[in-house]
Amino acid sequence: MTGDLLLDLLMTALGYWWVIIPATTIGIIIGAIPGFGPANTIIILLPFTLAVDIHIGMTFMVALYVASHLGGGIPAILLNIPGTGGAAATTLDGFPMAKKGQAQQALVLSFLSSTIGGILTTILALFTLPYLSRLAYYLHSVEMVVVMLFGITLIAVIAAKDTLKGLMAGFLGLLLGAIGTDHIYSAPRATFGFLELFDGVPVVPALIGLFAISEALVMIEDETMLSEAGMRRMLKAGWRETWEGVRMTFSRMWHVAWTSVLGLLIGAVPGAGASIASFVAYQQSRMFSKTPEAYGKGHPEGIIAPEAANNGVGSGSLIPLLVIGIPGGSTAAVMMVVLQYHGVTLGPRLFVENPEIPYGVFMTMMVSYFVMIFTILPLTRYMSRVTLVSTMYLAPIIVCFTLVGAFAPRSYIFDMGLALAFGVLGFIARKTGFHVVGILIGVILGPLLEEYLLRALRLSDGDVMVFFSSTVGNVLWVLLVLSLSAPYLLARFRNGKAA
Amino acid sequence: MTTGEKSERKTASVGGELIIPVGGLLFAVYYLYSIRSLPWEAQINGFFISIVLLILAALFLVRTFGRLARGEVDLGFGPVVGKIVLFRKRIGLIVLTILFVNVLPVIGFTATVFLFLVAGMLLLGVRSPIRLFTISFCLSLGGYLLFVVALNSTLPRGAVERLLGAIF
Repeated sequence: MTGDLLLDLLMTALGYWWVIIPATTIGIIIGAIPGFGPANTIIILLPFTLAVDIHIGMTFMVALYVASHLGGGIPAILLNIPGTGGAAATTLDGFPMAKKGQAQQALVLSFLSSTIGGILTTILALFTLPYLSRLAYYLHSVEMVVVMLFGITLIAVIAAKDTLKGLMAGFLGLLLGAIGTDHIYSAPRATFGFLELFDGVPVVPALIGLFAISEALVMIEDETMLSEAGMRRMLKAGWRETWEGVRMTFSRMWHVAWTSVLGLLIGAVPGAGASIASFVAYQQSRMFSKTPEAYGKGHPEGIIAPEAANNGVGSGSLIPLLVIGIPGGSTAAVMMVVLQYHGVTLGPRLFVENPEIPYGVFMTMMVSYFVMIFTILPLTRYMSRVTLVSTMYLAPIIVCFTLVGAFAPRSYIFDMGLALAFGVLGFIARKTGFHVVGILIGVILGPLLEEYLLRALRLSDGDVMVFFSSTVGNVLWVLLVLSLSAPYLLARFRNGKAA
Repeated sequence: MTTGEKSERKTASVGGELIIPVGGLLFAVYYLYSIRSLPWEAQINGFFISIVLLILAALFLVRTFGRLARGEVDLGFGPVVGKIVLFRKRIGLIVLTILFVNVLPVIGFTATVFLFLVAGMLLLGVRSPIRLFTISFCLSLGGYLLFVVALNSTLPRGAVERLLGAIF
């Protein structure tokens, strides 16, 4: 990799502005619609990406991919409905901030931390590609179990007010995530006789039900989603609020940096994904905050952490694809199809034979992030006006179009019914003090945890000590214990100093 | 404290809080029943989660009934049911959603969305016929253009989609 090559690729990426602008626009819209992920959209547009030149095709896919991560945060903040699994953690502080009439600031925090975090991790990925690619060789089933536990411990963190209810929500989610056939014998478990549940509970209908439909059932209590003070603030909002959001982000740049790097590291491991990265980043951000009690009430860092992390994943997930030919997620898998169709051989030789392709991907990401800052930031003022719409209109619109999102991944009418069932569950949970995020964490991370757990146990013939047999794994266990105990130790230390 | 003072003190209604623990308990029992004859690898994950969930549910029930015995709470469903007007609207919205899911494969996406939006907004209090029709028409058409035309999704197609497809 030389400076001249990078400069050439940067100029080339800038020259594709006519591809990047529509691709980022489509990506933001797709990311904002629950159920329509970037993988689905790239598959639908496959005839286009296969027909055009490889560079145009890759530019389009990469720009759409990074924009979709950003788009997922928009409904998460405005409507408490995450557009993607990676934005579920954004609802925890994004929506409370919107209800207080600070939707503009919340959106700016989300957009800037996504784009700045994305730019930082793209630059980092460019220079650390050979090293980050080796992560996949060091993180096996045992280590992945501990990574999953980092995310699952968030259940205990958000259950701070009523630990018993929080843990019940989390374990109910884990048990719902354990529905379906097992990984070894394909024996159905607790499927209620439905064939559609043999592959497990699909995440998208669960997410839509727990957040969107339950939110629609809750929001009809009031004329609008805003509190009285929030309504007064929103009616007076102007460009000043956008600048306030910019100042809030730039005063927390260290937070943006380290949470996006966390996302990069998690994304570099095949199969980890944005959901895990955003939950882990939120949990770590809260653990090490000086004001953890402010999380969940509209804390800016509660928005920065998941949004920076899930865009860091965007940079990270392409690393295993380009360097060792293993896609980091479903979107990377579709990109792999396009590259192979055009005769590109993935793996280490790619950097020798066609270095402009892998480095060009990261340059395109960087340019896409810059473009999005200028195209999307001015729109926050108008997007935030959604919070002023009466719930009489919003509730049926949300139910209707999010059910379409539930249908989209598998084209099963059953999934719409499943979303409704989760919606009723989510409504009851919200009205009785149980955490829907806890249930969702269990549904998402439970199957992944089981897969890695079983793989590790099979390899060790059932010996549980395998979980403490690797150096990297033991280091991760120590970090997990430290991250759980650090807040209490820090609090005791501060109390001791104050006394 | 006198009897009058006691009767004036409001107790929290926690009947609704029992729905998820009892449901979780029943689901855990069902899960254990469904895995009873499977190999250990298929059982281990669900077994441990079910046992923990059963313990947590039992603890919650003990805690709640203890508070009930002390007169701190009652078994009302107030927080879940809410005001009767709102309850009817919620049940109405759920019924409309069930109808949406069942009618969609029959008459297609666009027509179902239009009818659902009209019925839903009417249920929630929108009374202006112009607004009902305009908003529902624009959104169903927008949905058709986005999901059917642009994204070419596999949503059920009905007479409206066929007509629009023939025209354009």
